[in-house]
Amino acid sequence: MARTVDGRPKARGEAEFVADAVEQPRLFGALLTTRTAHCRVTVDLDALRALPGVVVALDHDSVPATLYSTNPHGGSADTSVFTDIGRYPGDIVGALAARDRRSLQHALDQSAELITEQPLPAVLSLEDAFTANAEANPQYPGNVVSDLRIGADEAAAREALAACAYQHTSTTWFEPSPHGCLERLAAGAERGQDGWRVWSPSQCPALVRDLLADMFAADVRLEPVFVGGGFGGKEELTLEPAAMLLSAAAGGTRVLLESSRRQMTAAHRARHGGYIRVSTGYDRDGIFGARLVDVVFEAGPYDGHSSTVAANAANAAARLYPRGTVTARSRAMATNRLPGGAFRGYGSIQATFAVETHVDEIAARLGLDRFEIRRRNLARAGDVDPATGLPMHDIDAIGCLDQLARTARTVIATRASGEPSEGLDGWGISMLVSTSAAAGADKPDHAEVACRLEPGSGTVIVETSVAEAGQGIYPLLNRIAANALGLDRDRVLVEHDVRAGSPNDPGMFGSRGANVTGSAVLRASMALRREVLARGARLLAVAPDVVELDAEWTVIRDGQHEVKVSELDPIRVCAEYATTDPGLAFGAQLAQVRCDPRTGAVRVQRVVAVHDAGVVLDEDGARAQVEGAVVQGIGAALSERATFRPDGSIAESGFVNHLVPTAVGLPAVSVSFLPAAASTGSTTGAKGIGEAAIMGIAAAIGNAVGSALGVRARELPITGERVLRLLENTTRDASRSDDERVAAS
Amino acid sequence: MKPPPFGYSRPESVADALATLARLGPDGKVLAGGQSLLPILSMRLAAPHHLVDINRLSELGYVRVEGGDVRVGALARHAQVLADLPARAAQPLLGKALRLVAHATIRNRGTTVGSIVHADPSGEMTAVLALLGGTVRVATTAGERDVPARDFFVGPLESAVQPGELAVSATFPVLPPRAGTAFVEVARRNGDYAVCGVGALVELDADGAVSSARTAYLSVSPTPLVLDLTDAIGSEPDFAAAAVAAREQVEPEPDIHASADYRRHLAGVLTERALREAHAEALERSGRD
Repeated sequence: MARTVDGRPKARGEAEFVADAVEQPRLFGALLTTRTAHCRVTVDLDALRALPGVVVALDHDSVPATLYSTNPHGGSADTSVFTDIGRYPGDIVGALAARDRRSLQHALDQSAELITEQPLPAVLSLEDAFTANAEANPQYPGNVVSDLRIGADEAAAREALAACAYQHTSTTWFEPSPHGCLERLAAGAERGQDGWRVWSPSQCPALVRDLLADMFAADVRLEPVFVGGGFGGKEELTLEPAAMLLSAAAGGTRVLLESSRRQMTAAHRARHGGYIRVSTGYDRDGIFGARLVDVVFEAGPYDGHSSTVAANAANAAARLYPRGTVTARSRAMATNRLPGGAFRGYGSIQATFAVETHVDEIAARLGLDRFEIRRRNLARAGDVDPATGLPMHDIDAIGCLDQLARTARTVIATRASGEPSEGLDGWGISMLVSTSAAAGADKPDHAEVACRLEPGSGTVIVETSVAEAGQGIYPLLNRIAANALGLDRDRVLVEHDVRAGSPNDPGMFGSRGANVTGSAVLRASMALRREVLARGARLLAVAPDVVELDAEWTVIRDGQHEVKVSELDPIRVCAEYATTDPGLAFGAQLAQVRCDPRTGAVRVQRVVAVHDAGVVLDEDGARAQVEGAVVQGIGAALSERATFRPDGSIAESGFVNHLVPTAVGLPAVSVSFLPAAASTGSTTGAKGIGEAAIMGIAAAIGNAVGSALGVRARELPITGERVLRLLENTTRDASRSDDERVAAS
Repeated sequence: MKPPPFGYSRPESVADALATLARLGPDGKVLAGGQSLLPILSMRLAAPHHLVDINRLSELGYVRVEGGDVRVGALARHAQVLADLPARAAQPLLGKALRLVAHATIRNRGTTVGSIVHADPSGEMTAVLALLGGTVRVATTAGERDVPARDFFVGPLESAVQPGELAVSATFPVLPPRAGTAFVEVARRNGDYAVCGVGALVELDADGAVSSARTAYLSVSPTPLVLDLTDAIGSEPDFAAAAVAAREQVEPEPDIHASADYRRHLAGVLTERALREAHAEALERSGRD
């Protein structure tokens, strides 16, 4: 069983999140934000400071002169901690801190009157980003945040496309969607004699620590706290520097700065909205000869993760079927609306939906079986990865597909039981490709850990700066270390350590934990065991290869003599692991749905997920990741979204109307892993699973709706109202809107 | 979020509760199961001065079939009504609607009378009371009065219960012979407020022809909307014609969950389904299935 460190305290309400961890006494802080999409802002600080209980009020004038990126991995430096130009509704123009929550709330209630917004021309849609004269952010001329290409030369790809017997083009659209984390973003800060103490729920605490130290030119000690759900939303550096500025202005006093649920829902970051166009050239056997992918995502006014999310979407769209002449372009476009950000899947949900619904359409045109068309075109080991230009290795996409076909045979043949009893059933499949490291040829992914033996207690402590947000990385690291050390799992503790100089691990993102951090832990554990034996041998004055440790780690002996482990000096060894290999991991998923053709309602009845997770280190943990991702994927497919109002603001305000799936009415999820033939070549042999399983669900559901109702869902989320509109359009106009040229053959 | 500060009383008897409510007047707000009131407080959408918690008034925790009515006391939980076989046999619509009220855990706590007094036009039980023509008994220190459903729902989240008053029970007429009911709805997720919902009551005459067909709607009007579709359905019966008539008579508002057009469409589809199901049950109960 996976023993989560955070499960019990979180379930019992005993876990300490940021707001609990920042000790009393403390000031209570909140952000000052805009309402207008694009505006020049003046904050009446004198009036704010005069309000009862208000200790500090800050605006743009108090921030460091240089801009920074909220993306701790390094996006474009385009953001000010507090801006004097509001660039989206909810942009952060200042902050205030008060003695108590009531004074803070009172001041916030007054603040709308005290923030003057002079409107500027705004970019209020993705279309406007291309056509309007307005610029969302002058840093991005023509509103282009990024415009990147991978794969073949575009002209060559167009030529190859035209040379194919058949062509098909489809475009899919996406609404943005916020993360819906349990814990709202919060940060704490205080300045003491020996530097800063900062409380942060960041998924990347070590990176944040270093960035803050740079920004404030001071030592920063980061306090480890539980992360109440991240999903990428806590991979953005926003509140920590604001909390430090508030504390600095209050003479270093401890400050707790919290966001509101409305800010988290409508003004923080979202899975990217936008569209993806896919064109494929193919022959009568359904063999793809050429493919062009065009990803256009709405970045909002700042880059953050947008250029890399769009690029990753292009990577995923190209990698699934890399054969033939493949090219992919990704653009992140600036608007004055909710910024896109890192979100589990990192563009791959959208890319998979675009490609896999497109493949189903081609299969339908040719009358080909949906498994067979994929089997004929999927990536195979040795195919060139369009994203890296290198041959793919240790992959088994077809193995995933075939295992899904076997597992799903009975699902496809039988009607699911359960509510609603009436309706039309359908099933759909989707392939997916994920990575196991945030790595590229020029940018290796790197992790350091330390393992130390405390001889007195006989305990081994794994020191890591990677964060535990409920994803189960600590129990996994505990298991890896215990197995390598040959110790009982109870005697291995995983310690979250983000002090300066502690082992550097960039954090929780990119499905890298089991592969990159895990490999570092494995190396450190093996090194520690060797060191324990070496120390024992030295004390016994014999060679290290003649001593052995007993199973309980109590004594080291050479056959005649022994030393007690408890008599050793404390030992600490460090190890690191670095890789340039993204560690491609394929998967195949199936969704069975029941659709009500008269209301458009779609209910997911069953999900089957087959994944290549390399060596599965902790089956319960891996399974839990898949199940959680499937549920979150159902939300992305059917209900979760941020709805733009005409003024660019978001209509959703919190969990009342941001519809994340609930425990009621979830489908049965059957999970299996490929036999561990493949591996990344990493030390653990594990592949990433945290993001893989969210990638294919929306596409599988979209394809299932297609098979049940004969209509093609081309927009996420697939709401009942949208399905109904598709059905009405089909009845009204049977002709197809897609470009298609059928060559005489 | 946490609720704003409020005063709190927990009377031990109905007389005690009525005296407290009389003293508090407009400052008093009754707390029963808290199904809606507690979220409203936590979201700070309301800030009543003083809560009068009636959870100790076990004398109001009853479900009875008496005379021609099912009478539900103010402290009867949805789950208790749902589990009451005599009540459900006497008026099957109660069970059909209650299983759609929120989630099981909320039904364990929320009260049926509380839902009705809350007068939410997207609440199932308000529609049931309106459709069946039930009544709410309202008490003060001066005595009791019975308010018929048609006078009870004044506006969205506004009932006829006045300051100082306590709704002590609600009655639902038992299902007549040769009658059938149904309740159907569409929600974006299980247990959410319905995007649209329809309750139906169909009665047949001795020859098996439809003598009355009425429907009640959720989420399409400020107060529970009841339509008499007897003429539209005809004696034949023509369910599709009834759906057309319903679509023409509802005037839903758009929100982020659904456009007005979609709600109107759902009102038609669900009207047809609810009437068809209620009609089938009426036939069965007439021995004509």
